Amino acid sequence: MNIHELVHLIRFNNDESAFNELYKAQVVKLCQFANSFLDDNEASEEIVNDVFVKIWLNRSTLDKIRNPQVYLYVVVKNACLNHIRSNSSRTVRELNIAESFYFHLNADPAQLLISKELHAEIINAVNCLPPRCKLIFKMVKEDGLSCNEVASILDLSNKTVFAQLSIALKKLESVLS
Amino acid sequence: MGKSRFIELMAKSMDGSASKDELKELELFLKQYPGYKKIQHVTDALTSTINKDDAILEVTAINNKLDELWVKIKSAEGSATETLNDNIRSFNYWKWIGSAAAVTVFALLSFLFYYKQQAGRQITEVTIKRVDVPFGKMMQVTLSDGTKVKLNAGSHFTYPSVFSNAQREVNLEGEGFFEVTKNAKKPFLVHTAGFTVKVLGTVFNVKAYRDDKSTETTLLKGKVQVELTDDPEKKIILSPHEKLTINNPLPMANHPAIKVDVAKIKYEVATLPNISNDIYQENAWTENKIMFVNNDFEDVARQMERKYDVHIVFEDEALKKEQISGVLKNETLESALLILKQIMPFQSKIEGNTVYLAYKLKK
Repeated sequence: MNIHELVHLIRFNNDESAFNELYKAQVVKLCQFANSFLDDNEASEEIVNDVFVKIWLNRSTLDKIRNPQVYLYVVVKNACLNHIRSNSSRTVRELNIAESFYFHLNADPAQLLISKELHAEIINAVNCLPPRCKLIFKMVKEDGLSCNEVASILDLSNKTVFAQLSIALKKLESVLS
Repeated sequence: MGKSRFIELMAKSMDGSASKDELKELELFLKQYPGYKKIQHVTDALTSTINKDDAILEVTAINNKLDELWVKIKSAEGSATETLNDNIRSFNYWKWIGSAAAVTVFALLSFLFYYKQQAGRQITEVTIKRVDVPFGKMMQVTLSDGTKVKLNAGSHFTYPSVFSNAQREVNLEGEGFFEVTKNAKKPFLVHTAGFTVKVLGTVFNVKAYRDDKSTETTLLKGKVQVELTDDPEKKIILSPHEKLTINNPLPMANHPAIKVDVAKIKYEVATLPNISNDIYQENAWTENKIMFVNNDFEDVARQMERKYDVHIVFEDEALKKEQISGVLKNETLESALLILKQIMPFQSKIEGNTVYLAYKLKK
């Protein structure tokens, strides 16, 4: 079931198992997303759980949300911002993205027809990308978001997101050729 | 086509915005320059982790988190609305409003009663809630810890609004199907007249009607421990798909001779026959079915009395002991009787709320 169907079931049928399914499908990526701002596993989990509690309690308003996937990310992002504000003396205007993502290859170097040295070089190159670039690459590649969605989540322009994604790909290209 | 175009196409195919033509173009390009395929493979193989060692979110861990989340939600819901309307979902909507009002009034009264009792002491927020299910319908209650209880017709169930003690204790007279939220620190106890069932987190059925011949509990998942009321020392542990039956003291059990007799056969543990889909005679009622396998007609009639809210009178004593098997689903009372007549030679007569059953007269 896709996210729209799940949200619909939660809104109109008070369906607890749909809520469970939604949670299971989203919790990992949302926690990682929160953690890329907070760099604090516990706080990230807590924020994501609070978001889900509110989703259930305010389920009667869920039908007003046009894109639930983007909504979840934005709510988590705002909660992270509030968390940082309440924990620091100076006013924070924007989120700093932490160096929290480390990429690795999930395949054997032999399968990819590359040498071990090249393998290490690729990993190093990707991990040395700027944090924001890494986050965007991760969100598009693993969370299944489109550039448009990432742009509205991170408050960036569409073009910026696309450019960042291209930067990551160019980096790979330059290492490999 | 240049390198930058390739990058653009790759990016578009990754974010899912590439058109059919663009995908075709990319495919063609990869065929033409196989060297670029490597980039695609490497990109596909890249995965991210947060600080590698934190494999925090495995499946079991997620399930545990989900349990905790529900506890949080239930406590938040409880503090937001103190009425029972949110917690109880009735199966028959046309009777809903009446029963909701009745339950709310009852909760209010019991709250007031409790409040008065507590007036001298410090006032705590825990109230005892009571649910009385009328004949002919079922109810579902969700307790503060997330435990779900389905109650069959004619059941009386009391539980605290919040489990503040070291144990989670509830009382049941009637039949309930329990799905207990796991909490190893707080055992869950169901008290009935005949025994107490103690669990940590399982799925089980308890049948303890006062007018039935026996009290039984059936375990579907996990483990339960049963303590008999007359013999607290005796602890019986059930494994999944086992059923414990104890005989209820008969109404005239104050007669000493009979009491001795009853005490002899105190309890019996039986394993359920293995039927697929977890549907058994014991939990069929949760789906509004009555299932009976070689049961006395009398016992089936008693279940029908509760389901259809009628009174069944046997005009022939021997008919009570006839053994019948079958399943009744959503039939009306009339068609249910028709079905039973197919397998049993009897005749029925309905007068208001009473059904009279007798053997068919031989021609």
